[in-house]
Amino acid sequence: MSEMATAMTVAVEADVVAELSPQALQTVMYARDLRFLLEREARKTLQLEAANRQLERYAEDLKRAWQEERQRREEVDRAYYDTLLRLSRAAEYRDGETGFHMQRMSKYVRVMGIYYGLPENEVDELAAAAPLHDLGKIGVPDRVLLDPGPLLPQDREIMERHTIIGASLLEGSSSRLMELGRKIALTHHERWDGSGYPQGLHGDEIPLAGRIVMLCDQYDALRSLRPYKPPFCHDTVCRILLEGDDRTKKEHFDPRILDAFRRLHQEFASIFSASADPT
Amino acid sequence: MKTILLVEDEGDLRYIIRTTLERPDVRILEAADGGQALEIAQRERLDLVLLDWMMPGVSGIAVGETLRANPATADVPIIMVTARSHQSDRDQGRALGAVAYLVKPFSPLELLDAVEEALR
Repeated sequence: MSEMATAMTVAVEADVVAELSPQALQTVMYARDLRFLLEREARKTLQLEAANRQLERYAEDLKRAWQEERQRREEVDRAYYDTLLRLSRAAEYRDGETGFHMQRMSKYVRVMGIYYGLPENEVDELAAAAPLHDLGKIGVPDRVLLDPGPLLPQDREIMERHTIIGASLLEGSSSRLMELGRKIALTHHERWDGSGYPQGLHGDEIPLAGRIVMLCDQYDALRSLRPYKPPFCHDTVCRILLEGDDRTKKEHFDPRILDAFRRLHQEFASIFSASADPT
Repeated sequence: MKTILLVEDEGDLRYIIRTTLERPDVRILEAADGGQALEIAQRERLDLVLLDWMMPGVSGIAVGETLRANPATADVPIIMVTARSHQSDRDQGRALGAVAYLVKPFSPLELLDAVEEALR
């Protein structure tokens, strides 16, 4: 006990020794040991408090680092979504669209996703990935892409390849968002009755995201001006989608999604007029 | 259960030391002089002897020598407790094989340490 030895080297003063009885002197020794123990306890308490403050510092630093990390992660997420949006705009500008189509697509699919009861993060991913549906148009030659039509059969085939091109551009990514974008690009022209392209998938073979984007894309295309058609009003488009016309059949759509549209059509109208292309 | 023999002629100090050392796993026997101490040592199996140096009658040093001479008690550790602190006393205590040498007034913490060490 080296601390003890140090304490004991403090000699009891000679005159005190002379005046006190041996019993009193022994009591003094007890008192001195008690004081030594108390002081040691006090030092230990101080050390513990210092250690505690140190721990609090660590806890604070950890918390701050965590918050900064989360902030960085959110920034990366935002930048990622932003990049995807710009990538899909590049495709849109090729065929003279303005980018408003993509904004509306995000909003339509969001409304549908919420109606379908998808979890919030899946709705966000669907809204972020939907604008990628026509990315493959980047690979379609201007001659075909800008042709006011009607397209020759071989040109139609080239045009329809934008689904496969888009899917191959987005293929092989570990990102869930990219994978969702790939599915949408590949399947957004498939039809419920199997008459769509490129694979002629039937019914539930078509991913839900593809079925949703397909209907939203149809609504938006019918509302918009095309080289081969005038823009139709909301009521006309509803009638075409819900009852069919010479080109569009209601069998093209997943009945549940068509039913959702029947309930949500007013929202589609609001979305279209809120971010319509400038005329 | 360890057995300590406390040999101290001063009653108050005996009481103080007993109070300092008392704990559930230790039995403390008291002797007020050297004669009593030797008597107890003959019939009890001891683990430690706390031995006052200066006592009337049979002195502490005599008790120590007697314990060492008897094969039954030759190996019992001894802690010397004394008012004297001359080097020659220490040497005598060491010659007896004392494991510790405490000077009155002793530090109770040193006493506890020495006893702990001796009983280990």
